[in-house]
Amino acid sequence: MADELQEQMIAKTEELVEEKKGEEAVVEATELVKLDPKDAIVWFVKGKAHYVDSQFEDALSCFSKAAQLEQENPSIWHMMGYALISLNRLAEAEEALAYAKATQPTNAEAVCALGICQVMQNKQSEARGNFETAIALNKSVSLAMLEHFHDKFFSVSKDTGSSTKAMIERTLETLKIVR
Amino acid sequence: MAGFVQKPSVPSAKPVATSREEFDALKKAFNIESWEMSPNFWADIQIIYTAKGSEQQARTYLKAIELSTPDM
Repeated sequence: MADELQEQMIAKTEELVEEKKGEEAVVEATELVKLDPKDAIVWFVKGKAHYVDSQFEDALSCFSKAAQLEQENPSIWHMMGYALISLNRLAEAEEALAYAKATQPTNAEAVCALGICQVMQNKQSEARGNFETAIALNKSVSLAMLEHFHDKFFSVSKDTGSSTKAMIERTLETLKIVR
Repeated sequence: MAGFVQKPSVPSAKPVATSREEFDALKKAFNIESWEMSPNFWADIQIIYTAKGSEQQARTYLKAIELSTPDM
């Protein structure tokens, strides 16, 4: 009976996270944690709900708890990397995503996120290598992540020149056609 | 292969509040095969950027994504 209840709550929470109903998802996930606070998956799901709701410190706390319980799970480190990027803790984010890449070498999202994290630290050659790998693994997902990165990080920035923004946009358009 | 990978240290984070009752419940907790129950639709969870890019970062990005010139 309890198994069935937890299964339903996890499914419900995943559904809410996917629909990006952040606030509602946090409420559901909090209820879930009360049932079994030890389980790494509970902390992981709760962390994802906080992340979608832009509660990055809470998300990181949950992912850290999940990692303490299940340190080798690359899914935890993948989301931990996202939370650390959002918190601008880039060196730690790079470490988390490098681990996700090393343990899941075909995970295009993790590889692309690692490259993005390296760009944010001005590590050009490392980023380039990871972008090439990510695009080779999954072009559509990688290009979507690269465009999203430009839209949310550079395009809206007053500190980035308009000519540089235009060159990035042209390069991204070319990438869609060429690679 | 994963065995040779250096595991990162868990980042510092604010503690998660856990009561004694919850801690006791941990010991009694049953295992759920939940990783399989919890599909990861990563494409639906985008990175949320809280900072804005600098000109230097933009130039780094441009160099990292530009197409290679074939060797002559």
